[in-house]
Amino acid sequence: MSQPDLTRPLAKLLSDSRLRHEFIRDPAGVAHRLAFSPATIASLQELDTRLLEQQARSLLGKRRFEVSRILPRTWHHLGDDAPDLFNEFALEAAWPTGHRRHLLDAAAFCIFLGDRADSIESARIRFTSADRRFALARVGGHGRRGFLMLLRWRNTVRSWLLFTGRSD
Amino acid sequence: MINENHIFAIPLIGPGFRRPIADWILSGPPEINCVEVTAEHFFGDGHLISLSELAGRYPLSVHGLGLSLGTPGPLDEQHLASFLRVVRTADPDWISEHVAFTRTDEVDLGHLNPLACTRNVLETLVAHASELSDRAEKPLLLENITSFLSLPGEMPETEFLNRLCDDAGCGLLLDVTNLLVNSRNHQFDPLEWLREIEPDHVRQLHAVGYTEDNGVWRDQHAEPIQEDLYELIEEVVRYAPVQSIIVERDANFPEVDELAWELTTLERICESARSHPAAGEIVE
Repeated sequence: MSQPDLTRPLAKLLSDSRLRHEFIRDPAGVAHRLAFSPATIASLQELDTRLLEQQARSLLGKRRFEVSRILPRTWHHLGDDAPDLFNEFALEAAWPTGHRRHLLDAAAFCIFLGDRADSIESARIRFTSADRRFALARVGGHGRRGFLMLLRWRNTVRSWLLFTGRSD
Repeated sequence: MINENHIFAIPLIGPGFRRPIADWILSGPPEINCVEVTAEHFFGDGHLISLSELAGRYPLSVHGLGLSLGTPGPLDEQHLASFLRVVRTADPDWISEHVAFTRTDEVDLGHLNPLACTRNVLETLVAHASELSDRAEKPLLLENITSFLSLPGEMPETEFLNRLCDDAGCGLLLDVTNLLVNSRNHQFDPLEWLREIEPDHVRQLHAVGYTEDNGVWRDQHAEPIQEDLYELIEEVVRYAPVQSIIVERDANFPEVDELAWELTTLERICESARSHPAAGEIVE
């Protein structure tokens, strides 16, 4: 009997922590619910579920690391809360696709964080990921407020910060 | 059959091209003999301008991260087209990708994941590797990955890799760090593993320091190369006709003097290995 393709079921299990935890508790139940073939079920039941979890955490860690590199100021401001906040975000957020996925992930994380993200970094990343030509974003922090003007010129993003006063 | 010119020649040694060390690489330091560029870093027309600056200065290899050669079905045409655009601009000596999958039609995991060593997967990889090499018109090298998870298969990983290289007509990009990390996490002897690989398949090496935390080993690409890795690299260079070695640091970049020292150390190790070659045998 030829061995089944495991990439699809594995990708599902590695990317969806709820499904994975359910699978670890009840592998046969999950496999039947997702209509995996008997051969796939047999192969999945051979997996070491501890290592499956470790692989999934490793993937999430790599994803988190890439976002932390794109958002260094936000990551610094969040301090020790940053990894847990990202994990909470990742629980609901879809895994972004394509070669710009880390940028898209960072932009989505900024939206998830709202006011907790560094406003200048957030505006810049959201602008870059959205492929817009021009934007004016309200920014603030460290007791100051103002506007960030963003312009895309020859594949580079240029920005100008205009402080207008002190924030409350 | 081992080409004796390669067993006696010192491999080319160089870094992976990364933005934080771009100025150093472009300044042409004597320690750098070759450079690897990651294809996905140059997706986007503007980025190709900086790639054309690099092409012609060094022997290049173009390394892919996201073609997902192990996913059944056709290759992603859009990703492949972008990859080929980078290849055409860089005109590299080699192209390389991984023995892995990164996505399916439903999920893009964004990073490398293991494949089962089965005949079906071998068939998929051979077809995709042949297509990639044919369309790029460049020799292809495929890289072993590191993984916590090991999947049930029909043959050992070493047999799988040998058959893949034979059937697809490609070479092996042996990531020595991945081999050491896997050997520690899965408790096997890396030298025994190496002995099972046909030496002539091994054309290029990747190396970077590993990280270890509570008995779990990782390839985070953020540390200098450790002594046990240098020892393993020396054994590989003594065993196989390696033609180039790439240091693939991605984070925690030190001063360039430290990177230059790593490249010089690798060259010294290669000189030592090549002055005492033991093709087909490993001295323990």
